[in-house]
Amino acid sequence: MPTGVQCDGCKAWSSDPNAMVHRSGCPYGGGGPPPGRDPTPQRPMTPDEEANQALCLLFPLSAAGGVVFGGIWHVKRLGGGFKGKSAIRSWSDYITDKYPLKDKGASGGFWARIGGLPFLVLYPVTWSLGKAGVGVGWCAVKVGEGSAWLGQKIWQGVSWPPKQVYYAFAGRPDEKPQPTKRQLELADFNFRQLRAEEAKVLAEAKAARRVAAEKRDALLDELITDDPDLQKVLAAEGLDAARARATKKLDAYLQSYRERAKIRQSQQELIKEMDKTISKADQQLFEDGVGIVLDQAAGRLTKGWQDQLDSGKLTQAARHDLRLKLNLAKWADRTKTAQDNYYDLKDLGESVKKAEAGDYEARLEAHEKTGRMLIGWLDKVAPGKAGTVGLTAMDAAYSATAHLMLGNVASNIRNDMARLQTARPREDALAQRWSTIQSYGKFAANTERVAGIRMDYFTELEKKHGTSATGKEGSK
Amino acid sequence: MTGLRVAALAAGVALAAVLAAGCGRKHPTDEQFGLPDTSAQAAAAREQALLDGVAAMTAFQREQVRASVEKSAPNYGPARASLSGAIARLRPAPGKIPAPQLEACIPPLESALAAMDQVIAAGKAGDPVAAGEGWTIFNLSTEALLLVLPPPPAAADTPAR
Repeated sequence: MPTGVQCDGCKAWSSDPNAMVHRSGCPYGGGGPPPGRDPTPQRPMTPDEEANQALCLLFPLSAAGGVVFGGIWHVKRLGGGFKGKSAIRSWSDYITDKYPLKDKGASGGFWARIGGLPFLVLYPVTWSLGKAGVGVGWCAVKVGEGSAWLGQKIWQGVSWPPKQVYYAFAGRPDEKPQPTKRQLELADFNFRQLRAEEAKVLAEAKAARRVAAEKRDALLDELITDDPDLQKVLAAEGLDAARARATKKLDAYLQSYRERAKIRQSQQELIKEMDKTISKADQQLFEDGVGIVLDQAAGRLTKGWQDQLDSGKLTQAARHDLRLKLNLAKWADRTKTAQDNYYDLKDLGESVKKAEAGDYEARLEAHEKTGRMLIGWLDKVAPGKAGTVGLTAMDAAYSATAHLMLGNVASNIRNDMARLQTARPREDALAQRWSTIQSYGKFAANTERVAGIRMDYFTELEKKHGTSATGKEGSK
Repeated sequence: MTGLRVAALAAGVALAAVLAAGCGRKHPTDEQFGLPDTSAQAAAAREQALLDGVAAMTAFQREQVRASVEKSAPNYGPARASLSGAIARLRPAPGKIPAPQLEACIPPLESALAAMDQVIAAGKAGDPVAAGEGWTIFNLSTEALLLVLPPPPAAADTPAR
């Protein structure tokens, strides 16, 4: 008997009465074991009880054997017929013929008859079903199912050494399937590639963050250079203090611009009025922007850009811009749309020149053309184009992204034009640049954070699968 | 003697059955283990999902330009839904190992989706500065995507006109 105390309520056992864990619903122990802890185990069986259980298993085992072999005999008999004998006679003759008492002795005949006994149960049932038109096949299926069920129950009930041997080879039924060595190696290979790719993205993200910081400092320095008050702070307190003051100033500009922009948004009349206040500076800005796109589209500066990039003397910001321009130029050459874009933009440039000369209608026309051209660019590559013009899905995706980049450039031109349509053009332009630069910083920081998380994740999984692939797991 | 032979035969059959079961020890299929589908069909599906994502971004910007040129209210809903669907198709299922092919394109597409949400929310709130910041992040996402896409093949000479 196990030592310890037993609860009167739920019959749980414990060697320490103070540490007793009661079963669910026990009046002495409340609502069962604490979460994550198994209930108190059942009292272990005594050797007598174990022997009784083993004996209990013998009956279904012998019964199953009898049913199976009796069934087989039965079907065989049915196939060959009883040859004019009754079923019982046939069975009796069969048993007597195969196991004659005189030859084998009383013992052999007795056990043979015992082995055939289940047939006696089976036969009337199958005979009745046969009469009812159910058929022998159905009976065989049911006998098979019943035998399988019985076999399963027996298998679950036993704990013989052969079963343990089987488990050692085939694994336990509740065991998680172990991946093969090939699968682990493939996973390792995948994660290595993913980690390597993510390392590049992380490096890009870090560079982009430095670019954002560089642009931010450049704007602050520009403001300091143009502002006499900030110059005084720079002379008296140094660069950091001047930059801090400039940051506060730009925050104030942005706050003011944001509030006024919200009001403007709801007042369409003001927008119309702003349309009339576009200055020549807007046109210059517009033309400069168009010139950039034009150069990009024609790809004329590609070699120069590549040379600059190779020189290694550029700032991070300049390197980033040049790499984007080069990618764009490569795409333009690839899809042979450079000429179209070039002539579209040249046409637009003529309208801009007329506008510069004071032609208000030409300016409106330039606005309209920019918009239409943008729509045209964005329409050029649609998903439906993939496959129909010799472009693969990847070509089309690349092309569409590059179109989008062109769209961004032209959109920025439009935004720049709108930016100056205000009563405080300098402050508002600074505010918008400040807002954009803050977005750069936010985007770069977020990209770096995401890339860092992904990098750690891929590295960890690569390590895990790499160790497993070279370690003990796997068998194929 | 016969009994011994029968016993030896039975033991042999039992041993063969155990060994056969051992050889048939269960291993997960590649799919159950979570390995990505490397078939050409699956690769094409991922490429198509990427293309749909870029097309959705293009549609988003086209809608802005259209609304601006035609002076009407933009409807960004379809483009946003399309990008969201494309990302869902490109992203590996939970618990599955991602395919290296185009996996790096997912973060830029996701940041573009976040930027779309910001633009849409700012439009509803009537805050053009927040919308402008959303557009900046959208443009930066496009740049990031352009940089992670595999570069195009060698450029052909552009014919002079």
